[in-house]
Amino acid sequence: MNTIIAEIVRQGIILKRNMFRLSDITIWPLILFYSLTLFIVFIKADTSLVALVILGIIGWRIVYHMQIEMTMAYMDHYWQHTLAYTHISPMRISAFIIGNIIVGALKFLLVLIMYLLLAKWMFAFTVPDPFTVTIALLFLGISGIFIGLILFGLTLLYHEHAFNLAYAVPDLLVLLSGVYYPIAIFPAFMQNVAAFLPPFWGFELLKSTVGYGQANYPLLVLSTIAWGAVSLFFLVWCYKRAKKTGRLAKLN
Amino acid sequence: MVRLINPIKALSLMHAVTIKDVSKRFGVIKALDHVSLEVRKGEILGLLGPNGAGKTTMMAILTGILTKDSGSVNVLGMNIDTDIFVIKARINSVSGFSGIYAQLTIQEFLWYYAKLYNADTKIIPKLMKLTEIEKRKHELVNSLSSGFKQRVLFARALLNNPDLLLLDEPTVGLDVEIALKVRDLILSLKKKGKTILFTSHNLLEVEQLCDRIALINKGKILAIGTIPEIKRMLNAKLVVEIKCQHPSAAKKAIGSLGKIRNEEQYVLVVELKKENPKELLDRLIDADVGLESYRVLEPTLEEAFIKLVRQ
Repeated sequence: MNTIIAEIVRQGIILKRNMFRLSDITIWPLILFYSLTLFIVFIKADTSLVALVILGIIGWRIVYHMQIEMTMAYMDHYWQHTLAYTHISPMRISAFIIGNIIVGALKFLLVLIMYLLLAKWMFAFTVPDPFTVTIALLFLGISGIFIGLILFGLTLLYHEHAFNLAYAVPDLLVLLSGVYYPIAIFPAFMQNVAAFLPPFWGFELLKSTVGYGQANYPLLVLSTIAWGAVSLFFLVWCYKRAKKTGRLAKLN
Repeated sequence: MVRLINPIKALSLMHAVTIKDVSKRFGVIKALDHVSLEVRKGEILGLLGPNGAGKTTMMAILTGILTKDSGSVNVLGMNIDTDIFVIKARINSVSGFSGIYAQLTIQEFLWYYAKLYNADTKIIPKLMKLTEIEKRKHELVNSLSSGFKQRVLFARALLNNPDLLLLDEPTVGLDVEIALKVRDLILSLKKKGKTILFTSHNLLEVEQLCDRIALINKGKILAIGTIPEIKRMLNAKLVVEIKCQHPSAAKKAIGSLGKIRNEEQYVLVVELKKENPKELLDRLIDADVGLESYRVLEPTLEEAFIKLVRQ
């Protein structure tokens, strides 16, 4: 519990002192929001398309925050050369991860409030089906955590080389999960690939609230359980491997 | 009534660390090759060796951030494979190469690690006082000099009041005055009963601080003992320095007792064939060589170290 609190407080202090981190919940989400919504204003899109884009932005943002915080926090220790020492302490990796999942969730909540206020002001947007949207966001958040665990595992082994993926992977998922468009526009094989991606069914449920996706709860739950098992197994394997090869101590 | 003590338990009471037959490879490199070593409770054991000798690998295994390939390690009477988190809570470390969290103040930095150690944060002001850092506790750590940072790292290492401290070149890169303060701090910790495993390239520092030393090279322990024991182990031949008015007469007197290793105007350095400095002294007096001084030369730790590594 102490490690979880320590991580949340440390991240809070860094957020206050580091402009780059503060931008992650202010400038960058605003740029994302305006770049897409101004475009749909320009093409005079109808209200359901506006809602699709706004929900897509919100959905993408939860995946991003939930997956990146743990890896970012770990890289903080790497860049500050405190990594080996932090592993020497009795800190449990699981507590470190949970602390940073909470940080990710808190950051997302701030961004969500900002988005909902802006969307209401600019487009008179209201959440179409609050219950379904909440469920979809919950599952998208969980899929973000699982992507984060996989990237975290890779970061234990490959440090900064893997960390670059933490920025690249969400962008790739935006493209393949059909966040702003139905995946029917993809060739058949790509549609099959997309269906296996962690956040795909979450986005489908989210889009279904504005008539653009297909809600499939059994596949949503099953794919989440499957990805959960895979990511946890992978993380444990990476941790053991890092301890064996000296990557945890940066020895090899 | 006589109480029998289990010999294994008795050993664990005496030793803070017991390493038995530990090996570790990185690919083709043997970082540790069947190493066995004990660190006694309350002592400072110096681990000496050139770069790549295996010191850091050993430290990493002891702290649980690296798994060994074979052998057994007991720390504070507990098995490192099964009780690592209990062990971690009772040990701590300082490394000369460790970084410091630049965007936190000293106080925040110590608070963060106190939480990771489940330590009472009330200890922080006391440790800041002990390490003389309390006046700058609200400054960001990245504004501090390297010597000051090292004191912060020592304060961090004491947060959990550890029974065993692992110091990996703690004075590297520090100026003389700060290094002296750090050495004083290490000695004061020993007086408080802490067991310390210490690595350094500074042999003078090792001589000053350590009760015993272990020499390691290419993943093997070459020798272990007190500093006089190590020197004796390596210097079977005794060396004496003779200062006299008649060196040629002295050379005749030395005769078969020893071999002249070095000669300057009135000074002879002689390597004795047997440990008989008294016999040679008697001969020199009898030969009336005008003896001004006669002293047995102790080999330095550096000489012993170089000799061992070359062997």
